[in-house]
Amino acid sequence: MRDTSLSNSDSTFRVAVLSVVKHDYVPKGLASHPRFEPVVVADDAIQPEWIHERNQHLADELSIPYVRDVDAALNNFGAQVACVSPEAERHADLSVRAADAGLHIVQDKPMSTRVSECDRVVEAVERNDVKFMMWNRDMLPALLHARQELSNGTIGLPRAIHVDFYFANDAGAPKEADRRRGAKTNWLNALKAAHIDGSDGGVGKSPMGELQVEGIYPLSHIRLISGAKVQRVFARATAHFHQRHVDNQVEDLASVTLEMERGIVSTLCIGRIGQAKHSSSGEIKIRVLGTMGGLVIDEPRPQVRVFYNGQKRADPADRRVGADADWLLMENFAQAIDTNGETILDARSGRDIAATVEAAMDSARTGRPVIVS
Amino acid sequence: MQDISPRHLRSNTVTRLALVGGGPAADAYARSAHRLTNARVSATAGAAPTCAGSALTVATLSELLQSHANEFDSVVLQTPINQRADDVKAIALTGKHVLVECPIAHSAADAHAAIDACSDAGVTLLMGQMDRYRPDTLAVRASMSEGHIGQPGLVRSHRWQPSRPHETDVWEFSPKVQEGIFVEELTRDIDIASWLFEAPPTDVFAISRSLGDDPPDWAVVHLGFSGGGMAVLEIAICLPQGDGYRSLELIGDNGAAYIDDQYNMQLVYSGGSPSARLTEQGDAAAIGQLQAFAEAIECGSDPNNSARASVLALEVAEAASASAATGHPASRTNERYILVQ
Repeated sequence: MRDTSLSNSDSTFRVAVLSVVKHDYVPKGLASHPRFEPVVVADDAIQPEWIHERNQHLADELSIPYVRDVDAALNNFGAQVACVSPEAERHADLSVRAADAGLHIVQDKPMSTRVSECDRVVEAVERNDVKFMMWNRDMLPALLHARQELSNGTIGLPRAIHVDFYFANDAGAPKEADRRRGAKTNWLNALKAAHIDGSDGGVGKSPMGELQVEGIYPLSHIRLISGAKVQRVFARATAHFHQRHVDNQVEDLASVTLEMERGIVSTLCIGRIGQAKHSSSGEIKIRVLGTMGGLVIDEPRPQVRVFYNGQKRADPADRRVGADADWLLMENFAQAIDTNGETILDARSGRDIAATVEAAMDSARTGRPVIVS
Repeated sequence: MQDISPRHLRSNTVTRLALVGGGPAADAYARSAHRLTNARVSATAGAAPTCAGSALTVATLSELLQSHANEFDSVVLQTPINQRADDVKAIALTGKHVLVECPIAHSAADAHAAIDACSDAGVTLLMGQMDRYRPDTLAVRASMSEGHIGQPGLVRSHRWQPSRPHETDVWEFSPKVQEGIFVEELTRDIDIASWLFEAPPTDVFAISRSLGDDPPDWAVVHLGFSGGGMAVLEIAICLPQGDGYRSLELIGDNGAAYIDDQYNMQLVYSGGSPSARLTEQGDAAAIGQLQAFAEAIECGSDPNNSARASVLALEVAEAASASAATGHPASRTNERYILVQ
């Protein structure tokens, strides 16, 4: 592991941003903490030009260099932390290279498109004794509130946890009734085009459904609240809203029942349901039934509502406020480095969530419950 | 959506209702009696609450049927689940119409027998399902009828209720019955899901749990529908004593609707942290249910369709119970649910 002896509470971590193909909220979230300083953006030279353009854009915005050589960026800029956010299928490879270079890693979701790749990340992180954190939403105020109520014993021990995770965003054209239409939607091209409104979380060559793209967020909520591992899942999934998902045979709506350790049962309903389906960005809700009561939590709270004449959808009425989630995540990461502790969503946990998603997809295909391995 | 407005009542005939039994809806029915069009309560029996305008009160259903058959035209039955089918058959034999709560029997087979008895007697059998007549549910269903929701893709519901003492003579949920959580409770939610999808589920997977050594007081049912539709339904009879919680989400390809008690909470400040109190929806569901019964009797507007829906809900509940017991899902084949090993 690279020498991090300067990692006391006053030290600053130099950050190499490895590819910023989709949204830039991960590197910007990381930079929201004063102890993390992006010093370089990098990617492999062989990547196509559209990727270089996006990387260059962030480098210009942060006034730092863009280097078309990942290994040079890892070794020549004194970086101690890597921020990994390329297409999903390159996540694991860049994280492994960063770990092998001795850097701690903050990685965008999903961990990978394959569990075998997640296993490779776990092995590299543990062999190099570096810290790893999957980007997540577990530090949002409503989640902190839920955890506080649970730790106070307000509702006893959790028995059942239910998460609604609906993004009321469109994903291209609606599903067409006429299945005899022409050319199928090209996934990569469609997701590249979606960059403009930030709905390109699934960008990459491999089509991905909502479970794979966004599932880590609600599943991490369930993991955090329950403290239990998933053992078996039963799932249903369908392309119900968007032609892009129909054409590429991936789901935009799914439901999963999770049997967990200690007899806990959870359910997840997830979908990219289209903007007409909600007045805001979508219903995101957590219900926890405990041995002594229940919690019903709205994830977007606290929020304010702002309305005005001529208001456009791009300027939504409901606005989250008071969220220190990015700072808290990075504080958690810094403390993990400082104290050699665990991050809130480490490599093994991320891998377990990827395995849960994979099992759910298998279950949806077969109609049978599937053991999570 | 079925229009239950009184204008559909064609004549001035007044249906005389007998309220029998003291089930959860009995108080609401009694309160609503004076607000009905072309119907009134003329008798009460069993544990039914006192009802203004009712001239006759007797101790039992059998006494009512045997000694006072001329005093009423139809029965609103609120008796315990395990005696409902027999009660329905006895009522049908006297030529009276019946409104009986969902589930209409303790098994699909018993429900079939009750329906057959009513068909043979030529009387109307209507399933009482107050959840279908709640103002919020009706608003959602109206949106569906107007085409605003489109093809349903997902129904998710949660119903949390306080635990019920084992020692008392519980009316509805029998904690000592292994399949009780499914048959006695979840049938209502299964009925709502099937009603919204307008189809029976094709796949059923269920899990149940208990806080202690007793039979389950919590369950979740995961349903699949043709065309990729799905439903996740949770029931819990284990909250501390106090108010319960209900939510229902319906997401279609054109629109979505959300019912949630959380939206209807008001804050009360009386020192310390504020408490949240639910603003209730009044007795509209009870009125709508009774009015639909009166219309069904007069107009034949529900030729036992709702009773058959109750049979379906019972079949799904039985499949869910079997799924929970074995860990296997069940699939609908030739109008039967078969466990998939």
